[in-house]
Amino acid sequence: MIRAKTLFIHAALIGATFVMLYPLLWMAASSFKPESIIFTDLSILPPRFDFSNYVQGWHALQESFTVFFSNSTLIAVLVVIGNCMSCSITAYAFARLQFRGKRFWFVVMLGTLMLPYHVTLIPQYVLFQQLGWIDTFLPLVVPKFLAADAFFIFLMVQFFRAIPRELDEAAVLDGCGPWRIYWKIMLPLSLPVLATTAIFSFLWTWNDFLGPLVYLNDTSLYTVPLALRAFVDSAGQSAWGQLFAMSVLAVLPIFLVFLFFQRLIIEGVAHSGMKR
Amino acid sequence: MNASAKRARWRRDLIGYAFLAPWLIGFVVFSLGPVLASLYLSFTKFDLLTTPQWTGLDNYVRMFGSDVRFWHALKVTFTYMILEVPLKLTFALLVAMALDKGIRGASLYRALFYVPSLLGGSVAIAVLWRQLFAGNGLVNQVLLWAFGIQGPAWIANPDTSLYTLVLLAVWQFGSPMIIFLAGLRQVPHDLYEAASMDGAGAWRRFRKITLPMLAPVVFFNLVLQVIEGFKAFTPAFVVSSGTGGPVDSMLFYTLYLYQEAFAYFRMGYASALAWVLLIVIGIFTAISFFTSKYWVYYEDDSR
Amino acid sequence: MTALTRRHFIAAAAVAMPWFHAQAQSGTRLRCFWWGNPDRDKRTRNLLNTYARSNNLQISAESLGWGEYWTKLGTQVAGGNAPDLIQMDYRYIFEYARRNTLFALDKLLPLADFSPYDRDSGKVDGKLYGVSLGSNSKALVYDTGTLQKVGVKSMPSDLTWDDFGRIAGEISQINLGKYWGSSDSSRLEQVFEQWLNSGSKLLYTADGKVAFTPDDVAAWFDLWDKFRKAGVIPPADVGATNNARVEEYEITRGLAAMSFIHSNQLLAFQALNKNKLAIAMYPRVKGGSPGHYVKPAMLMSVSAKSKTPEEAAKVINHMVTSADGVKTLGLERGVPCSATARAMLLPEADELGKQQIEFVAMVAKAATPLPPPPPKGAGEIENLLRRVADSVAFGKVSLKDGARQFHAECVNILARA
Repeated sequence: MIRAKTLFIHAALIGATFVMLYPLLWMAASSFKPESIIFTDLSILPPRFDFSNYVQGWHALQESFTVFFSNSTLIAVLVVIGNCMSCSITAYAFARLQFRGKRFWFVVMLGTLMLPYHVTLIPQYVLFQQLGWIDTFLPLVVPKFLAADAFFIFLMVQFFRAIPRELDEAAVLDGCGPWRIYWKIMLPLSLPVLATTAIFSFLWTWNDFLGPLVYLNDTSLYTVPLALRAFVDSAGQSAWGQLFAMSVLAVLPIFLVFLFFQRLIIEGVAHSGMKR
Repeated sequence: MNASAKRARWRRDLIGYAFLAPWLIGFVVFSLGPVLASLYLSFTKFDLLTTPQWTGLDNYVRMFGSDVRFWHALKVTFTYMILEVPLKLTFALLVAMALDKGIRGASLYRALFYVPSLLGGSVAIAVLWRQLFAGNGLVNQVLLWAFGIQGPAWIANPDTSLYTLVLLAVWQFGSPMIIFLAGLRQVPHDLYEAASMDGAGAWRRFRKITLPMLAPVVFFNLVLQVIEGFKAFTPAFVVSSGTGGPVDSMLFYTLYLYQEAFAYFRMGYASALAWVLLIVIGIFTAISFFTSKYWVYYEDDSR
Repeated sequence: MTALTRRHFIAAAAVAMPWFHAQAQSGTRLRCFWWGNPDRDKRTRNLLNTYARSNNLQISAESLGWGEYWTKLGTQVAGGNAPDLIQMDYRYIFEYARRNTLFALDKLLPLADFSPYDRDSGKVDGKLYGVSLGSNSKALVYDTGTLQKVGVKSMPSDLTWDDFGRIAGEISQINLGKYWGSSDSSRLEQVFEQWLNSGSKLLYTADGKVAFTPDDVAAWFDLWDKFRKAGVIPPADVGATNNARVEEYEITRGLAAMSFIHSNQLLAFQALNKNKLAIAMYPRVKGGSPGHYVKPAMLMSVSAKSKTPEEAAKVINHMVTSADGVKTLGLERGVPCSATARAMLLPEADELGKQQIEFVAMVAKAATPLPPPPPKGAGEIENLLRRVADSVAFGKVSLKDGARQFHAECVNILARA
């Protein structure tokens, strides 16, 4: 039974979806069109699938995009590992261990969530400059191994708290120390929250622009966002087709991650808003 | 406390801090240290090549007294947020409500509407946006084709450039929408049924049931979006080629700070700018929390 | 515990790898950084590649547009990893040298072949910090075809601003609203400077202060405002996105017939323009001097922190004295300072090349002496003029207010520097 109202809502939603996604579809389509017709062709279907923009765009900059994609991947993977390791250990300490000053440090940790990056950006830059780490990946990666992302710590603390303590107690009776409880019980049970952490870490790092902008100078160290921006600035008016092709490739990993982990991502976002 | 209990407690603390160590080190080195350092730097003149020179309140005096760009950056940032936050939240709520009606394919729509949020902050999208609103860009092509009007060069004209960024932000309403959806799902449907049986129309139901029950979520979204708004950097940078132009019409505060720090190497001044921003965000958050007492009710609330 | 430490170690090694990789590359590695355009980039890359191959080196070549170059350079210098070879500009070399970021090249590069004038152009406080890669002067580039349409066979070099306005006005009538006589150059500091010089004024005093008055600025804005109102130059939003890149200029985009550039850029512009281009002097103030001087188009410097200053100096030497270097770079960076280099290029110079050489020679004959070196902050002032001039052009601020703002802000910038 289809009521007029439902039909109307569907029509409105479909219309809205189309308008919202049109720019993306157009960009993807344009990446397959020859340069000359891009600006005059509004359709989201290219006349034929011409891959030349992809081939030329890949090599358009000083270094090929292979370099940029591998840089981005390396950094993203390291950040994921760093976040999962350090945030879970920290969350375990807050959720399961008892020690003096715990509540104080917990509040402090939450406080860092509210700290905008602007205040720490410059001194961190100075610190890295003194260490000689400018123009390397280190500033982008090392902090993640030291639990810099309080958001994930918080997520994991909530998750750990929901794991029944009986499991811990049983383990203690079996003679397990806190490390083994963390390693053999907490972590294996935390796959969902670890997955969420991994996915969001990956997404945010892949898209990160300010960090690489400030810390990476040598073109051969550029990440994909930096390369895209250099492309725009160097190709100017003349190579939009290639630029769009590279942009499509740049967002492709994000898309794929979203496709496979949609449920987790959306639930992660939804839960971040829920106060319990 | 006897000796063995004390020893046990020491041991317990040691273990706790051992696990906490990575975070603690990270906190001191990358958060606490920098925050204190930047406070110190804000009172100096520092160009990274020589040691910082203490200048007292000079930076702040200059900022509030004679720095035209500072006030302009504040104005641009506030204008941007006053426009994008309400619009974004309104769309998010409207669409969330439409999706909450139990129509088929809701989860597909939800995913599709979320896609812009997923991609939104990226350079690729900012680059696309720059082209969309160029003089001969897609938007003008569509306007020409559909309505026969020749649009202006949106990003080259200071009167319109900021609105392209507002549009980009509003385009990403998917994220708050998902949060609203989650919130809407928690509103018990029997409340709506009871109300409609009492003769309440859709608007009344919305005002008297939905809004009050969603108040905590609205509050959360509001605070989150404002804080995100203050942090916005990539779109302004890429669309304006790092200049904040034309005529500083897209000079977000973060962009101004970046220029002062990394283009002109006035690190001391940039640190002062960062602190002023911190205070502004703090004031805003404090006001929100304070006023929330009057319009946000939590389920477990005794207030 | 063992599992954790092992994983930590692998992760740390992976992280450190790119860093180590850079150090471990074979042979000496040099980095060369310049601002350019497609033509210059191609030539420079060719030169560097050939030189690197024949000298068993690795030279990493990086280039950016003028707009982003100085920010990027500043970041690298501040970050402690400045490139070995840095292309310098007259506006910035004093600042960089005085902050001890450049290497003194006197011992490494005697430059015997250069005239004292050219050698000195790269000296700061008596020491040589940059080698001039070529001389240039300001030049008005114009589309010969369009100029002929309004009866101008070639632009005279004693044009006044009134003449200029008249000619540009006639051109604007050809395709009303779509093509203009000239691009809006109220925002270009180089043109403002020439206008001041032509009227016997200066941009900066010898002790690094502002040498012009708010009234001067107001008169400058007024000059262009009249052009804008008469339709001689395009409205503000056409030129506002020009970030000093050859492709962004109105003449390249087919929107204007004349633009204000430097003589060495003629090659780059012609490479991107189908129509035949030629150069002439900027217009002058009525009864004033030409306002032109010959200056180093750009200089090549070596970073003070370079690990291989001798190698870097050799590259520079190759660029300005060797046959291969000189011929590859050609006249694109200006007319070479070394007499031998000029002798190498002159016989083979094509029409554009001859034009450039003759132009610079003509300016040298009529020359105004070199103005005082620009003070620290001159680069920032160049950006400032763009902003304020755009502001006036868009009608956001009145002429008088804009002029006052610009002057006050200039004083401010120089005082803080």
